[in-house]
Amino acid sequence: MSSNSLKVFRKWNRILHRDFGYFFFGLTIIYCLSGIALNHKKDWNPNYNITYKEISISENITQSSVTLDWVMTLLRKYDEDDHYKKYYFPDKNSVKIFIDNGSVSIDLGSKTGYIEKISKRPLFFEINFLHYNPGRWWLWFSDIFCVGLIIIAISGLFIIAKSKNSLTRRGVWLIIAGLVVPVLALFFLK
Amino acid sequence: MKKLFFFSIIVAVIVGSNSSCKNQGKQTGADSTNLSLTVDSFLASPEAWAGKEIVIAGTVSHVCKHSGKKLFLFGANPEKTVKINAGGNFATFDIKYEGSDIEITGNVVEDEKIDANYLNEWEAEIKEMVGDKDQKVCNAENTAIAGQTGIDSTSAEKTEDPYADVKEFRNKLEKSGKPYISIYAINIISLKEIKKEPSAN
Repeated sequence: MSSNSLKVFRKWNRILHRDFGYFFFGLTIIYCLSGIALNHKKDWNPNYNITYKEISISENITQSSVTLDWVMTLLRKYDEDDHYKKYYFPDKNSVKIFIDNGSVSIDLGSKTGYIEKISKRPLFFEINFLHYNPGRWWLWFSDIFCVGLIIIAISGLFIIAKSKNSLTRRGVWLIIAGLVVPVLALFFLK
Repeated sequence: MKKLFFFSIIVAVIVGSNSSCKNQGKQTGADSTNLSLTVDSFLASPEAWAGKEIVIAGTVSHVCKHSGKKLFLFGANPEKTVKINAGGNFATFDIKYEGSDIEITGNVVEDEKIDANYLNEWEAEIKEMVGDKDQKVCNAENTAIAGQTGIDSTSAEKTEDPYADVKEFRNKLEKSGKPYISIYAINIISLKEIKKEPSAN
């Protein structure tokens, strides 16, 4: 490559790297944060804060004696009567009462149960929603984002001109080091 | 100008892909039957609806709180539920639908194949669950599967044995002589909430 065309290549490479970097900055942060959140789905709920409050009922009660009045009296005791939606019997021994943003589950046999309250995790709920590809056009946009990341990565290799920190010297070793981890993972985890 | 050039390309591609997708979203199958069903009538013979577009109404017993990717509907019998999968315009289901009456339009698909491996994993899950008494376990999926195959997972004697469903499935699989039992679910196309006055059942 002549020195003039190399100069033109480096100039356009810098422009691509810089502008794609700026444009996709926000999306990169969104996907990285939600990626971490969703990676640890087994350890926490990334979308909702869920709290449980153990409760108990004093009287002996059977499925046939559970009425709307009984349900409302129970909810009133826990200040949830204004949030009532519906109740049903998931099985012969329990009753579940739906309330706004949660539910009340009671085991009629043991006379114990719990109130489950659910609220959306601010920020994480929204970014996880985007991570799940809501709608076709977002799917295409996220594909474009992935292509953008590839362009940012490749153009990044050629940002530094020939020096001790360029691709052919420092760069090549760091690239190999970065590839060792996925190769080891394939070797040991597959 | 040069800088703006790149952004123009990006914007043009996004707009182009969006307009080409708009028509796809509205398409429905030419062999769509659009039958309106209750959960119980669907569960009477789910295999009969496989591959068809149906409308089904029921009450939401559970929305998956981890992924939001599935919800479960029940009809007259709360012990029998059908699974609805998110997708298309519904990336996830909002938790607010729990306890609500809704009407779903969707395609019936073979969602799960219950084979020996599936039962082994299920057994391992139960083992973990039994070990941690404080854990609040999401059993909605297994309830839906049991309901569809006519297994009563809620009888008094079964609450004593956490492995009862798995055992019954093993027997059923053996008797069927097939390598697996198919479980059907519905892939959502659209959802409509049916507003009612608060009531029981």
